[in-house]
Amino acid sequence: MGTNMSQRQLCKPWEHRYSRRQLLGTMAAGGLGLRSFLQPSVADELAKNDKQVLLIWLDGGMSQLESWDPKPNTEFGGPFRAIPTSVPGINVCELLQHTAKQMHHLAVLRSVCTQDNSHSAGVARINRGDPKNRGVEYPFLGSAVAKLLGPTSSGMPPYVWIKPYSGGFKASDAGFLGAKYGALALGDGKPPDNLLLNKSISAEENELRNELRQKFDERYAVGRRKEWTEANSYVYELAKKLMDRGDLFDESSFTDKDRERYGTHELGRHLLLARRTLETGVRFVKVNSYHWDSHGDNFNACDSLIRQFDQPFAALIEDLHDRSMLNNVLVIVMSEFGRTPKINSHVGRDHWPEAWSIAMAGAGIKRGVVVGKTNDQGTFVDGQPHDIGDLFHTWFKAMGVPQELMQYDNHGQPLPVAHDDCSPISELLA
Amino acid sequence: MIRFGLCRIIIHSLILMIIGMPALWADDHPLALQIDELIAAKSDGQQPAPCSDDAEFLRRICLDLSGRIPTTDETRRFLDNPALDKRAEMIDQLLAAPTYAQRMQELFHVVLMERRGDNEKWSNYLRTAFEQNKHWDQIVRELLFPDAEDESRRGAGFFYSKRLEAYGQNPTDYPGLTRDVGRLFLGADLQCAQCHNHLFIDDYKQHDFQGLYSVYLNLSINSGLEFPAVTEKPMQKKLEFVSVFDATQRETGPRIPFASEFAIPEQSKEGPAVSVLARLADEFPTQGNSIFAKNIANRLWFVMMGRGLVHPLDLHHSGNPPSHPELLDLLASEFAAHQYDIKWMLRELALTQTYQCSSRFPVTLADTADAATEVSTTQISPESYVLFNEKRMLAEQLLHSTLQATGNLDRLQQPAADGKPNPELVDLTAKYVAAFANEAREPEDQINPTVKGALFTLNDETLLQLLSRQPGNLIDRLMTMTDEQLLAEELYLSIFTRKPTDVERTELFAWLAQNGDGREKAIRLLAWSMLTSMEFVVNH
Amino acid sequence: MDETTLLAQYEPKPTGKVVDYERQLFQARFSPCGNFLIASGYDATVQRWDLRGDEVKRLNPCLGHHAWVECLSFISGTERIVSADSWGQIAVWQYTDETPAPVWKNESAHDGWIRAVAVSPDGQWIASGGNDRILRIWSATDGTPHKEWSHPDKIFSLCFHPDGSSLVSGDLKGVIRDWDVGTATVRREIDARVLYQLDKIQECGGVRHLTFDYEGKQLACAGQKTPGGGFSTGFPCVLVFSWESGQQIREMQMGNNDDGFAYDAVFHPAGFVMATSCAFPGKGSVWCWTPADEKAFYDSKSISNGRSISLHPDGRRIALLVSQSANANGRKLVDGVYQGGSARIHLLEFPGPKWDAA
Repeated sequence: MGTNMSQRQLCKPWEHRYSRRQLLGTMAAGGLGLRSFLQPSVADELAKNDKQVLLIWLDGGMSQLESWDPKPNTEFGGPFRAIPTSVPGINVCELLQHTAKQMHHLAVLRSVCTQDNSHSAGVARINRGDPKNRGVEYPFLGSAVAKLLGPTSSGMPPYVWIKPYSGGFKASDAGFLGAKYGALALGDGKPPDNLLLNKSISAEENELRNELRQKFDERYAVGRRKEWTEANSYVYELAKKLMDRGDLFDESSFTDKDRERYGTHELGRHLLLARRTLETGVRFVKVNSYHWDSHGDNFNACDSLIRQFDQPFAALIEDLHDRSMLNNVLVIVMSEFGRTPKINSHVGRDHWPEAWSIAMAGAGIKRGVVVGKTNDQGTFVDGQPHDIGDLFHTWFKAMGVPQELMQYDNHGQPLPVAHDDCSPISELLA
Repeated sequence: MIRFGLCRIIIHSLILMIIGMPALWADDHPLALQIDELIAAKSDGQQPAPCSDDAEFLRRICLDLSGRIPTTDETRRFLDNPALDKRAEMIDQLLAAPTYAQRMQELFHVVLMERRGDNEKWSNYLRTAFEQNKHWDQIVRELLFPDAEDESRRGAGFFYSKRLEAYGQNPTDYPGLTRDVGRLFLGADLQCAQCHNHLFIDDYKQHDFQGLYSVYLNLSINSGLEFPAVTEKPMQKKLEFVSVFDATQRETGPRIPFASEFAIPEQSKEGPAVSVLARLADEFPTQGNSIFAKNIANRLWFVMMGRGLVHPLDLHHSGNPPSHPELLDLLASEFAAHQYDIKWMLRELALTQTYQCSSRFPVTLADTADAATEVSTTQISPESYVLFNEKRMLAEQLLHSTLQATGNLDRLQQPAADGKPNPELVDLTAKYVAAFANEAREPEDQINPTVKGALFTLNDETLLQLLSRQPGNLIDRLMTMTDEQLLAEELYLSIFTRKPTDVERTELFAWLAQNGDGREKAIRLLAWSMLTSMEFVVNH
Repeated sequence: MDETTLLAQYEPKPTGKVVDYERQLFQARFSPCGNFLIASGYDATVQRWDLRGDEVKRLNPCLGHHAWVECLSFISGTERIVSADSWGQIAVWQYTDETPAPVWKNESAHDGWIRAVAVSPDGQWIASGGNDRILRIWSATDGTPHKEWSHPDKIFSLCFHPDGSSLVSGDLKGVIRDWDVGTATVRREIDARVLYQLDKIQECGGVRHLTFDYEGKQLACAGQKTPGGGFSTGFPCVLVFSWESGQQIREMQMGNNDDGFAYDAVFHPAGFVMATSCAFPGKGSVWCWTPADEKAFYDSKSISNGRSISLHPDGRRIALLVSQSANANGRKLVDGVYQGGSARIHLLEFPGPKWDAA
């Protein structure tokens, strides 16, 4: 900072306020966003809604038979045993030894039957809830929730994606909703670049320059389309929130006990960070784990992989419950499909959308239930199958998305937020 | 905002044009006139925004044709120029300037490579192509058949070779290459087309993909040359494929999508192999290929107008028709009739009222204390073109404009001693691309503010360095000015390419007065705020 | 012997006989007497075939296991075998009985998946180990627990040295250990870590099989090398070590890096090794080589997806077990029924003379 600079005038709070008021003038600040178009009652309801979501995405496809829907000692059942859980009558695969103890918090849908057995199309289909094709790219669930519910009262970015490899801002999840609803991705759980305030700028100056920029933006927006200016303001607000919560990324502040309970492997670290991210008020947190595509040596793979899920997942559910967060946080565990009952010559399992399981817990979801079933061999759904569209309806309802918001407006094109022909699965709803 | 007499005359003439009177300067440009008529015919009675003022126009056209905002001198000269045809003159001047080829190189690099990476030979190829004003059909011919023997095509092979590189865990992405050729040159996402039932020609959809795919399956990277190149294996037999719907076995030879299959050439034992690619390249970008013509017409329209007549640009099918079908037909046929001369086309588009209309509606100051009443913009769809669609700046445009505004461009454009680009500029470009460009393979077709970009402008050294006082740069110039009226003008002309309003002047003086002995810091903070504001970071 | 001579004597030829089984199997072994073929399966059974007649005759299976029976071993000097399953049970059977019942069994011999059993050369002791990382020694006669100790990692393979002096274990991490059973201590480690890899987030590989040559001078182990790609499968690979020095004599890597595991290997008394692996169809699954040579003298492209290879006591006959279960994303029904995989045991033989143990 220059020595002849009027540090005092910039930094003294009263002067600061005065100069700011003068410069910023009286132009109305604040959002012309979604809420201004809603009925007051809906807006009130939304403002009160502090539901959060954690989506755990196991990319490549987790085997339902080695996890939520074991068929021990049957043709396709594999080598593992089924073990009892904290809910009498419900068994899961022995690889979920920790999760079994949290079963009373969970709901498992065993009758999932979806449409796609390829990764390339399947990942997007499931993430989008496979709505009817209306010629637009639908948003992934996180972007949809970011749009429908916005940030929580914390003001933190509504959609944070904790993932291996690269971070950054991933707009592609947002589809037609536009980049604003994309995900802030924390590559390997690391903070985004440039998170710390540049040393040459004081906190006061930073606030001041942002208010100046905001002022210019507001003036620019007069008579123009508002959406881009809103988007620009929004990303600066998010940047500010993130800079204010730099502690979020301080891994050293986790206790040894936490680390031990969650595990030091990738998914363990990322789920621990997810817990803290939820605690800071992020609306939707997605945690991705990759390489679950066990076409070869599936059973050793599951012994390695599912345990890496089981330990931190159970710890997380326990923690959310202990912190009284579970009523508020909807937790979902899914992949793009399950895996074939048939065991191939590589002792692997291939892609199987016909009959698989999705687990969930928390906000709006019934506790300690299994809904739907597969036949004795685990090959097909026995009874009513459920597509991902049904689950999207279920989750939107569990999150308390008002009926008025169950349709997007894409420049005048009405688009249902979930498949028109699907509906909530009442057995899963609390 | 509209404070120049000359502009009033132009706006007046434009208003006359809307009600059927020919504009003064549009006489010689019947295509521009036809375009405006077709746009007006579908405006549903929505009053269009007025003509841009000179400053708004100048900033826009400079960004579009030279990739950067104008200098303060250029702006002053233009604003002071009383000539009635100065806009047309400016368009011609920019199309003739060396900056045109650089801008087109940057633009088409992003369009064609979608941030997969760059290559010096490829940059040179594109630059030369636009310096020579190679027509679009010729460029596409060279991209589709980057004959290593032909020196004028060297570098063009990057379009294929980069796409044939494995990335991540993916094997050679032949379907992706096939898809991109369809997307970029025909506006049709053929891979998607396999799932959709309503494309151009239902019966041929899988053939269209597979026919083109069969050609590309024979391509591989030729890494033995000093420039990016590919090797083509002679095609031996038709490609067999199965329809996912009825499981029947089908086959196809090479085929340009939406055209008929052609025979696999017979290879003679002696002599060079007969290239299927060469034939594809000859028969694909023709004047008669209306789908090809529509795609590029639509893409150039998008470059200028901020929204494709077909949008998204690569989803042209009957379920997603153009907003103005006759207009797209007209543009495509006129463009083909002018042998796909891109410069001609950009000039025609730039001359339209549609291009020159303002991105904002005027604000009426009401008597009440509640101040301004605005025309609501929420119901004005981007495809109505009655309000100019604000456009995303490429990372390169943003950088060059930032350097221009901060008075660093001249210095950094000086090549290094070895004739190569200034290494500092290369470094800055990489930083700006990392901060503001999309991920690889994502088209950059809309304004996309990101947290990453915001954190970059807030905390990275780069922008702050450009705003530190260096001899002759913006901050230095402003610090030497004692006349605050001149200072205000210099600041606004440098960054916003316009003069400040009276209100802005008053605010600025108050700000400077308040920060008396912290003047330099105060100016830097203000300049930073302007450079990160929407008025600077989008092309409006 | 040069390659041509070896091939003339030891090129496995089909006998025209195959044994089909409706479910997949892990191992198919000739009994020491040479009269039976015994196999363990994915269906919790131990299957038996009588080889004495013109036709191979299927006998009643040994029933009473759960889930997968991955391992079995013959108890020397008896007509008994020991088998173990993935739910932790060990059972001993008189395989010559018409309808075998367990001579003894222990349902909770281990916690979960037993990956290996081995019988001491004197037929007195059974060693067992698996995912629970505990090595246990049992009386082969009645199943009395004799000794147990913890093992540093998951145990994937076990065998005794022919002179009974050492128990050798192979684990997930590719470490082979030479155990003194008397003191339950490791004498030394042999490095087969090339067979293990942490591929992205998954622990892959391991020493899947261990076997000695007839004189106990060489030790072979089977597994996979350098897994990559999306599926964490690698090159089938067999390593041969000098037992005396613990040094590697030969690494035989076959096929492609997405083929998967070499599941089984066996020494022929003439000194060469036969191994089999899974592979994509047509890529080969059986190869034979002498450890002294760099190149295999035999590499079959005809039969895919081998799971085990067994040499008859006559030194001529071979039982090659293969898995028949193509990769299949999505639904495949035959007459409305969802299809699982099956097994085929190819009976092969060498053209050369019967092996003379003398």
